Amino acid sequence: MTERHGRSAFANPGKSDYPAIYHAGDRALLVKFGNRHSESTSRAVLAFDAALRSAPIGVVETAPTMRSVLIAFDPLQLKPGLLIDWCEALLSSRDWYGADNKIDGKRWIMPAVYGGAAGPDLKELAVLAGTTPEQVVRLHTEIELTVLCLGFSPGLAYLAELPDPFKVPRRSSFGSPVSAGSILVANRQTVLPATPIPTGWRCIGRTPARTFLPNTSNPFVLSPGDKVRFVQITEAEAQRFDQRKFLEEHGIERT
Amino acid sequence: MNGLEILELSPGVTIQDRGRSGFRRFGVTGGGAMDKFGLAEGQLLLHNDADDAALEMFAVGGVFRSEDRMTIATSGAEMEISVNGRPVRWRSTIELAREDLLEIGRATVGVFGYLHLPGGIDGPVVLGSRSTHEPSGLGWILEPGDRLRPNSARRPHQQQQLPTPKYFSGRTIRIMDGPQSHLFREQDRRAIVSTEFTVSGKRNRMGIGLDFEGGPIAAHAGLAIASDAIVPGDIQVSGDGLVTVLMADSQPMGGYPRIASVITADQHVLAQFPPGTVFRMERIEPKEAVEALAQLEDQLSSLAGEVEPVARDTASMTNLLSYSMISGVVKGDEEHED
Repeated sequence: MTERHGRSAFANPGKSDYPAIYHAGDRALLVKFGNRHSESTSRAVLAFDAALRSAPIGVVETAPTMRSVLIAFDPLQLKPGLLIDWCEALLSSRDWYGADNKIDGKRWIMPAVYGGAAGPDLKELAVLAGTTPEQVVRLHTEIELTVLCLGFSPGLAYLAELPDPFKVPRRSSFGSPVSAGSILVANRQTVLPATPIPTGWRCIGRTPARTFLPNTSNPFVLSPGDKVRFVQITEAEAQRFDQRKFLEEHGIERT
Repeated sequence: MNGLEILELSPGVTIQDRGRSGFRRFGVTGGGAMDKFGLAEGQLLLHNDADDAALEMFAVGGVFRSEDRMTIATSGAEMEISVNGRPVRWRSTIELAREDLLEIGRATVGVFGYLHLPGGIDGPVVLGSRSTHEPSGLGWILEPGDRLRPNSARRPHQQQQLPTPKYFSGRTIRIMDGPQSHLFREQDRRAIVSTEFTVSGKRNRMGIGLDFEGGPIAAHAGLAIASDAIVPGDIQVSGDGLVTVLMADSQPMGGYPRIASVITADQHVLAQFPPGTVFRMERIEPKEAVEALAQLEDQLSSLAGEVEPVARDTASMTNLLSYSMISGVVKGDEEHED
């Protein structure tokens, strides 16, 4: 049986059983805050991940997912039991799901070209959502989204939460690869890949902004907890996009 | 600096070191050598650092031309190897002369072999590591015609070798429960420690497919979960009942439940199983997994004591010939860079 600390998550998995700490292999713990993504779960995830900056020596790195935080550590340097005790004390120190757990992420204004060659699936998505392409763009640009986590491929960001019309499932199979900067949507989320990836998500647009700069001192533009608002631009404006200016406007010195 | 020119290259040959750390929160896979014990052996033979990079060869190696005199080393899975057509010993240093032809063929014991250059193989460091991660295009994607350059011109005092490690004969893989183990039926949780598994042909640096007899393994709560963190060693059960052990290059997150995780200390053992290998899994407690990891670290620390001069035995006549001929040339003008 998995070592379980605190209330049992085994008998009846549900929100009341969270947060829960699990071993994830012998070099990581996984702290689960829910069995799926929700606004309060992601608030708890991001707040707890931020609090882990004060984690004891021996913790190698932490990584949020949509519903949990992975804590990678060196068990030969830090005994798992001690880390579990430390996490339990931190977990019980406050209500992680509460609305007062604000995350101090960066705020990004991300230019985006919608439809056409940049967003070949915009029309299809509008039909599935029972609305017009114009309305899809309006809904997608009027809301500030939160970077829940990055995963699947380097720099690929999961952003939420889009309004109901975007409650459209992924396609069941992967299409041809989409380019970096594609704006993909499904399940009330937007995915922003930073490298070319195969995907079953529908592509409604593309940002000229690059979010993975491997040979710089800040290779990843977006971090978990950041806020992103998309603004519509034309293809001609995208051609004139200035990455350096974009970073500078957001307080990042080019290196 | 002159090095080795790659003349022919088998698919699955990559540059690997100990992998990337600290970028998981940005979606970056840890990667690194599939057999970190095997990687360490070669580093020891050449007095390289633990973070130095080597060539990792999956099942088949390649053909290389030496551009200069150089001491190299091999480790990990034993592979067919010859210099100018003459077989040489695996898991030892090799003295190459200029224009020597180094041919590395099929793996005969294990699957992942390593080729080391003095000071490690030079190459682009991306996100703190030289490791190739093909799925996301990180690091150096090798092609024939590329040159592998050493980071140092250092040469060892004498030819050295290591004995074949015992782990190649291991047939029990220890596992521990993980964050989704409770989603599986009790019968399936029992089945994974009573079933004989066979390594399938579907295997690469991302994962190792397993075949088994008996009924399908399935999770209670349907086979799709909301995406959650993956750690290397996770034993994933996909929607169609396929069992895969996720390895070094797997994605950092995934939506299929994991019934258990292979402990760190046994991941290199599993990585070296050729297709068709039959083995069992044994469930242990997290505390025991950490003890096993400490033991593995101890074994690595004591490996230096097992390094021995290459024997001048008559059983390996070709080895003797190349050793005495080349060492006679090398002695007296050894270069040391530390």
